Amino acid sequence: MDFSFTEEQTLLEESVTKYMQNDYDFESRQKLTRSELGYSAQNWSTFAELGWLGVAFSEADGGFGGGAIEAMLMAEIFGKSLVVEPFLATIVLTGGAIKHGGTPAQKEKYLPGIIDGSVQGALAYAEPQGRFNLSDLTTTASKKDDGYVINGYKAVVLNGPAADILVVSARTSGEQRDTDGVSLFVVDANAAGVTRRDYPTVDGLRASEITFENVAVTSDALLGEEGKGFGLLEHVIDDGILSVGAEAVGAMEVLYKDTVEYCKTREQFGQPIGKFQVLQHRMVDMFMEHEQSKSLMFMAAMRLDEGYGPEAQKAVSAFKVQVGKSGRFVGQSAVQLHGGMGMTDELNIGHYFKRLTIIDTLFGNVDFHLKRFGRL
Amino acid sequence: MDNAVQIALATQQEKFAAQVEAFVRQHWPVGRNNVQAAQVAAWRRAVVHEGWSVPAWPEQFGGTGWDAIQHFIWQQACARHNVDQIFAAGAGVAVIGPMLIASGSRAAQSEFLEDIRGWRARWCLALFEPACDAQISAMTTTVSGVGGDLCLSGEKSLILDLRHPDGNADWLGVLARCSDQPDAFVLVAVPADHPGLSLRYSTTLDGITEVAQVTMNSVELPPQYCLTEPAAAHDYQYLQYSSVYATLAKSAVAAAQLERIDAVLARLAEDEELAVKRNTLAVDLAGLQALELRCVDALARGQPLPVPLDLMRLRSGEILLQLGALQIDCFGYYALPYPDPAFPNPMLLHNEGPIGPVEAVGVMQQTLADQVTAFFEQDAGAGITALKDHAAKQLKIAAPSTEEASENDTAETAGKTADNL
Repeated sequence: MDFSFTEEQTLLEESVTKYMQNDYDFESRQKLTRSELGYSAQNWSTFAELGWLGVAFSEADGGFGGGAIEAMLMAEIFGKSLVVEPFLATIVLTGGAIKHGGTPAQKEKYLPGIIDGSVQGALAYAEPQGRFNLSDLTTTASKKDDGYVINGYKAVVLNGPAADILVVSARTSGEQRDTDGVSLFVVDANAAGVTRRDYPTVDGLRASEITFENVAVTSDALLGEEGKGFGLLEHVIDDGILSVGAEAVGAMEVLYKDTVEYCKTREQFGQPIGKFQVLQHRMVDMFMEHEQSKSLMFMAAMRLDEGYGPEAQKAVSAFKVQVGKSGRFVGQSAVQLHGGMGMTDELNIGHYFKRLTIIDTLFGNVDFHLKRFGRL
Repeated sequence: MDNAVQIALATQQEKFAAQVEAFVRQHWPVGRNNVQAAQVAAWRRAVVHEGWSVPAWPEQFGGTGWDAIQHFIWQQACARHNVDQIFAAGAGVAVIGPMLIASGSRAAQSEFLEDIRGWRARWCLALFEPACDAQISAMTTTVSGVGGDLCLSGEKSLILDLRHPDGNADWLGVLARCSDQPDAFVLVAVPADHPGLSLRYSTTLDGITEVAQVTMNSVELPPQYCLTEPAAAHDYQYLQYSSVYATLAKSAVAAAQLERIDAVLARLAEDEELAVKRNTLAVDLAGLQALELRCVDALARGQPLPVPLDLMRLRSGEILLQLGALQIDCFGYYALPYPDPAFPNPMLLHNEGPIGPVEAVGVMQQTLADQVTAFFEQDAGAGITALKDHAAKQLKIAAPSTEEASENDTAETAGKTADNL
């Protein structure tokens, strides 16, 4: 049993923290959210130069041989700065799908570009009717000649507007909600028949609704075995949960600390409001919610690093439940304790709150993961 | 990159865990309900013989020299098998011994330590007073003659385990104010059969756990019965709480309780609301387990705990009480039967078998007993409020005034002393 980081992990943590403190202030982040791209291409290049985009890939794939712990560590720090660069969509979800399910040829084709920052990706898995059910698919991939033809519609595809490649889930056999018969494909985002409707999201990111109309792909676009893509998709989504959950843990830490500082300086009735016992106790509860989430974050990362299976899935779902509950409590408490200022758009508090609210919904909310936890 | 962060125990730790598990299985009768006095006595002998009777004490006083993870393994195994350390070993091991080692006179040490280490003498704590519960600064029990012959007067209440079916206490550890130093307190040893004690017993809300109230009128005692040096109230603030390692093993108690609930749920018709409650608590428990592991890891490397111990006490207490409520939910109407040996009702004779499902027997009693335990472990004195206040100070949530800053330093020291118990 060991919760200490290696020297390399500590260096990585210091490097990401230092960059975020020096070069990623809240005002710059807000400007990025209103820019055309929605994030900074320059920042993304720097992330690549610093090696962060390759940390979670094996050395054989051109990465640095890290795993869930390293991904968690970076995501937690990103969460503290509300980073808008598409680390989740491109590295964790798209790169992760290729890392876990790709053939050597597919890895060679896509991963170098992802790691050097020249290729953007998105995972197109959700559908309007499916809510959080990963296997509820109306998008189909029918065999034709030496490949497949994809038809369907994908909802709220994160980083869709910037994506060069899409990892798309589609049904190759079975009924609409069967777990068997789900397949994943790597599709050129600019291929004929792919139509995107882009929009900003409430938490400052970008997403697309994507229509696939007779999109032809060759057989080497298939990730993993035909019809057996559900397990791969679950694995990728669970990696994604670790990542957004770690972001939430980082965001909660900022909210807790900022609230404590605010309550020490904001005066009412002739004294700092932090002197009031009822507010102190609320902040103690915020601290505890954050620490419980952080503890389950470690458990989820450790289980994922031990190997993907029911134990890891269970740990991930427990983490997601905790993050959903704690994020709501910490976010709401921070807004309330900041009083009128907490409601304004110019203060960072509300933006953390929005990100935490969205993280609860991403990849399945508290209720969904509570049920999944119980089933496992 | 090598991932240092990992959940698995090292090989040596796994070996130790297996040794401990085998020991507890061999010597502790399964469960706590209906454990016979002879079985408890056999357990005590086995633990003393193994050299594990006072594991957290310094080695020169008979401690095991275990590291934090070994302590955790031991506490987890005991908790898993429902071995209540206080119940089995008495307050001597957890409270009196460490206080004596830290600040007792040589005479007091030689008088008492060996019997505590050998689990030959049973101790109970006389801390509370009728007018102020555990608020030490308001206590009125006084002792005169510290440094020489002692004379003790006052009234103490809510004394646990003074009289117990499995063996009465031999000694009371009485917290008293020094008559010549009103801001200083000492712990005084009082023989339970001292003729100067006037005792009155009452039962707690579970109908079974007994608490005593004792009145002392000029009880005269020899000098070595003064167990500690005179010290401020803060130094005694955490006496009633369980030790740091026991506190960090509460998830094992809760996990064992959840297992029992799962066994019942498996036989109940599918009930979605119960399942949601159960799963919510299971996630809370997973969070507690993960927090405990982080705390133990921090202890093992000599770092500060990531979460103040007060908050760990509160969290584990909350989860245990909620589990108790869920157990009652599971049994529905069969939570009502409450056989009481003191209640002469022929319908409740044991040879007629249990009323309702066998798993329901003792559940309500245990749930009510948990309320009593929660009082002693977290609600005592100013209770949850005080624990959260202290945590807020430790976390530096409020900017303290100069006076408070000085008080905080004292409180921190007291907290550490208590944590070492």
